[in-house]
Amino acid sequence: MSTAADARRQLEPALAALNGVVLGKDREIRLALACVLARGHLLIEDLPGVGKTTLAQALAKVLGLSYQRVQFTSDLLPADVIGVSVFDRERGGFEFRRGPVFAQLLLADEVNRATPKAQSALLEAMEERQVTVDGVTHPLPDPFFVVATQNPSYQIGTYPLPESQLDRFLMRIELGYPDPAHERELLRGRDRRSLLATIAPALPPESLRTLQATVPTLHVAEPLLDYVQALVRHSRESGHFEAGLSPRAAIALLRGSQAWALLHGRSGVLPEDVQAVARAIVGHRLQLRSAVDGDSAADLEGLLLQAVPVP
Amino acid sequence: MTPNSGVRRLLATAGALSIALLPHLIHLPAWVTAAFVATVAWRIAAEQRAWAMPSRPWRLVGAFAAVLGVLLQFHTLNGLDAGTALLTLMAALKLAETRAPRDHAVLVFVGYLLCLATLLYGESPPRLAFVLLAVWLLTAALARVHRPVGADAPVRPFRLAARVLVLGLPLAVILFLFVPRLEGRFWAIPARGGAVTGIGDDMAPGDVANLALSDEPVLRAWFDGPPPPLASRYWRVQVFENFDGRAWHRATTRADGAPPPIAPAGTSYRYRIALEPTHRPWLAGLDTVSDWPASSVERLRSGALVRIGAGQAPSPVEARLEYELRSSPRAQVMPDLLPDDLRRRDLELPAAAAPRARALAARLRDGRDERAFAAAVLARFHDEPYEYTLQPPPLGADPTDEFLFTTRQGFCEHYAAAFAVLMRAGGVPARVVVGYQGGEWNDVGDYLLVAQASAHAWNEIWIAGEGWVRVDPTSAVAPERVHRDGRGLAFAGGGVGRALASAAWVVRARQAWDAARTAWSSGVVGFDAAAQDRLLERIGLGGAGIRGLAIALTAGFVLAALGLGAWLALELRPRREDPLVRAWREFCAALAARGLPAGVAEGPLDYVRRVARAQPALGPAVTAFGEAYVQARYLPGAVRADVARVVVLSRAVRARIRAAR
Repeated sequence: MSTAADARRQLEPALAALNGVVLGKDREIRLALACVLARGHLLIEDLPGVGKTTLAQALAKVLGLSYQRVQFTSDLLPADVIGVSVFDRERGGFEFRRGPVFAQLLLADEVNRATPKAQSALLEAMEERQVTVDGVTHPLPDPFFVVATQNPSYQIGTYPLPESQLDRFLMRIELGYPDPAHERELLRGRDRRSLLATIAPALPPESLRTLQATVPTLHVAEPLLDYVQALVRHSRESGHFEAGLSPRAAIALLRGSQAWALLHGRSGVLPEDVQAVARAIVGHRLQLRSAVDGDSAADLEGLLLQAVPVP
Repeated sequence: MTPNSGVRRLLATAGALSIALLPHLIHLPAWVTAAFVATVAWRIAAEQRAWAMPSRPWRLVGAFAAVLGVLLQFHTLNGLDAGTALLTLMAALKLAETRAPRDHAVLVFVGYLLCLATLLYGESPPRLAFVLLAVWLLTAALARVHRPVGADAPVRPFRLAARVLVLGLPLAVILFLFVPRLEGRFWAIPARGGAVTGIGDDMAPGDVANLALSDEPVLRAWFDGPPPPLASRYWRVQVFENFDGRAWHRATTRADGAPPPIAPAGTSYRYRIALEPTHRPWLAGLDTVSDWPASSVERLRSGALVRIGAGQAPSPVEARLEYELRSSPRAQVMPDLLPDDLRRRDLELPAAAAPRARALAARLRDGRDERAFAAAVLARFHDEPYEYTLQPPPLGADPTDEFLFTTRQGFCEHYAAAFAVLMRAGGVPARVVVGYQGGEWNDVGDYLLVAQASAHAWNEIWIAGEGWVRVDPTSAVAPERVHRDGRGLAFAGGGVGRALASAAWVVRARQAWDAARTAWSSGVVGFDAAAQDRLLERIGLGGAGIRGLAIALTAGFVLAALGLGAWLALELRPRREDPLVRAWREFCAALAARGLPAGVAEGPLDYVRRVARAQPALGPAVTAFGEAYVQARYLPGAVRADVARVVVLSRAVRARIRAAR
């Protein structure tokens, strides 16, 4: 219990710092942080200009992580992400030049603008937490956290990520427009870029690693497991969805809930924690059978969360 | 349906049917079995290769051929053997047109009928066990047929069938106990002929030899008090008084049929006999039967049962028969007077028969009285080189003389027949009695078991003032034949077999087995109207007759239904509710009554917060309860005390909620 309260105390400054940069997005910031704690990767889907990049950069700063950014374009090659072997004339052999993926926090901007080939190079690295080039395996740094942003897929010139690749992201969040009050503050305040430069790390990487290790050990009561299973079962049996949630998705839901609970200083997971992260974790993994197109999150809320009673 | 599942379904049904048919193989004609097996094989192949089924005309031809075949074989369609054969053939024909689940169901019911027929052939426990196995498999096949296509969990139908049978057991017991019993053979199945061993209506020397080798039981007797001593265990069955020079025949009964005058003397024994189906019209009783209780007479439903030992059952004994008797071994029969017609009959010898025996008799009588004369004859059997053997040489036209003077080898029949001839030739009324002598005491079941091997023949001579006196000439030749209580085989055989048969544990095991079999046949198979009456008496419905049975039957059904209901309620009862869940449910219900129901998917903290916002007055209590609940249910380290605290808090908060307006 003390560890949970302790965790909250450690995370409080980080949250405050983030909220100071990205205004009016407390919930999304918490989700992003929970995603880091659960050792997942984050997919931010929204229109350009709502602060995706700012959030990613702020996260890197606050957590004191090395930061790299790759702008995904249609001519991006896998080597541009992973790195490349170049011939070293002096030593008479090839030398591996590390790509931007070897950062602790990698911002993959507009990931759906790149070709599937470049996308999958990144996604494989995310999954394996290592890259193999010319038969040599290079481990990626720890912590390793990818924030990918993506434009809504109806925009032209995009290669939507296939469902199997979407699964690699623990959470998908949308930022959305700020509300008028915060927008006013944004307009009045300093430039975000310069503000970012002033941020000092609020959580040492060592603490982050410890917190990450704590997440999977956070107490989960039997009735909560019942609840997670009921949600998963409903997604499979209700007939509202193209395919039900996989066991991997169930684990993701549980890990995300544990991270959320830890973030809120709880020593055990509540149904509310599951509900808080469910949309971010499940939204990109389920497809509504009757969905016409576009955003189905509201339906998801009604069809899954509101339909399964809390045990 | 995939072809594979069709084959499996057929295999299940045909397999169960074949197992139900197994016990009938020994009496079914080979061609019937062959036809059945061939049809099964053909039908399965047809299912695999999708061959066409025979058309209706062909099936009709098959049915006529089956009926004709059975008629040719048995000359009737009636009766157990013919019926079973016909049923088997019809099952095969049904198989040839089996497609839908309904057809499978018909086959399964044919299988049930075959099981019934199996029990008509015999009612031993192993047979019942086998029938139960077959019924289980048949029921499983039925369950399998009615399962949805593709639901191939191979074990489930068997489990379901076993469960159904077990659940049906109480009903079966109630029906068994309280359905009115019909006296006699309910099934009106004609008795099956065939070789029947046992004591017959006449006796020519050599007849009993095959019996002496059979340890099949004949009767069992339960005594009130100690059983009679070995020397008194003579069980009368038939009395032969007419001699034609070669064989002895039963005397035609006297017209009046009145029992002979009996003067009881000495110890008397009251006992109950269970006679195995002998297929012969006689009863057996311990010599001399002096009395038969009214219940026994009623039990036999026979006015003809008046002279046991010299008497008859009204008809051949086709089912196990139980009756009670009283006997006094020392009673005197017709002590004072032998009526002239009887005397004449019991002295009669065919004119040409046994001239040498007559001469011998005249020489031995020589003025001696009856007893001395008999003793002289017995002494001759003992002193001369007569031999007791179960394999005597065959005898020719005049068996008496040949046996007495030439072969001198024989067993009880030879000695009894020769003794009777010698007595009559010497002027003493004499007759031959056939029955059983001895019997093995069964310690386990406390009864006396008499087997066919104990078949015996002895004599009675009439002495004025004493009446009919039993003389056993065999004992003069082979006293050990009479003074043993074991089995005939042990005597006739020898060596290893004998040693084994008399080993204590073998005897014990054999007796235990026989006692179990006896308990089964008298307790279950022999559960008849009388036993039913006794049962009704015991449960307080005695004397109510058929109404008592109706009451018992109804009560039984009601009890069974109640039991089943209780079992179902137990099976379907809601799991004992977690006190935490219950506290939460009641908390929600109390708030709902105040117009603040929880959302279906509302988390507990969310709900509590919403309530606190809506009803600030309740806020602290509700929040305290909600936090305690969450703490105990979802957070680590909750102990019993936490749960108890939640329960206490729940009471308090509900009181607050009720009080709030």
